[in-house]
Amino acid sequence: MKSPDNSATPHDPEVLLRSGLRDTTPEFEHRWTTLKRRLRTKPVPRRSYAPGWWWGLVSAGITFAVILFVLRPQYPAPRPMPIAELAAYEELFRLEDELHPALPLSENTMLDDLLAMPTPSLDPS
Amino acid sequence: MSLAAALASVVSPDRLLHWLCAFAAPAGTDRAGAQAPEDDDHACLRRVAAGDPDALQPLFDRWKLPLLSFFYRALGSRPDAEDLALQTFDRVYRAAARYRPDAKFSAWLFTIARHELRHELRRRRRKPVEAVAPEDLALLAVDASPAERRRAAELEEQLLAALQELPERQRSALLLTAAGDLSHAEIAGTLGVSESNLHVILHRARHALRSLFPLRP
Repeated sequence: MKSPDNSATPHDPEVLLRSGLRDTTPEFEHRWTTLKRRLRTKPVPRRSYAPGWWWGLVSAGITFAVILFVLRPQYPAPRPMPIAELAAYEELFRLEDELHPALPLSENTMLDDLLAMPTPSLDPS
Repeated sequence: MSLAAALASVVSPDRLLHWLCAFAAPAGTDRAGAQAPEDDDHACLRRVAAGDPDALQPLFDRWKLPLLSFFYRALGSRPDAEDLALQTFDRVYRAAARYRPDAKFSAWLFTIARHELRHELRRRRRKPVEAVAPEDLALLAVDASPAERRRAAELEEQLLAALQELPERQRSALLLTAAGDLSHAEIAGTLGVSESNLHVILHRARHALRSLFPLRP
């Protein structure tokens, strides 16, 4: 990016692109000095030999294990129903046992009755 | 105090590494100071990684203007360009330990720079361009006439406006090519595209720029 010897300004955008800024501003240099001073106070981060995503995978695994084995909610086992409450259903069970065989019979009977019914006459007289 | 303990207190591991880096010149280079700039960049970065922040100064001196020009043309604003240039050097310092010298330093630097640029473009809204004074451009001769200064300022404003119309990838491809230090393979690596794809991007970018930039004698 050198200054051209001739003073005529070229009009080709590619030539213009190749020409950059001539110099920096004093403010920029001052900011650089401040940044450099700040960088001196903090050490360069050391090179990590594991890829970045590996640490994410490991921490996700540890979190999953902690949730599964440590923080898992400890629900009490279901309590069996007391015998006294079961007695209240005894009548229902007995009725069910008695009525259950009757249902198919009732349905078949109804079906036979329906099939044996006389065809209603369409003649109004 | 034993001799070993006394030595250890004087020669810290970081300082020892620094000396080793300074004296271990790469093969094919002369230790008397005739190193290629690229080797200098690698050596400086090794020193930064070894904990010597002062080694960042030569890198800053060498690359501040190419970086500033890249950001200035990409954003159309000198203050924003200065912010991003400093952020880039901050990031270079923090990432120095992760640098592998199998790539050119400038390619690595501009990859970081483009990352910063894209982050900035996502963050901010589009701003109107603010061209610098023509005296600040290397293009204009120091003893240019007032008419030439006016013309240069006008062209610079038109160029910035035309560049802002291009997609970021096309604009970055043009600016990295104009930086002049990077090969097409390195620019393609910086942009994350194949080399043949870069040729297509550059062709489209040049065509778009010429159609946007009014060529006047």
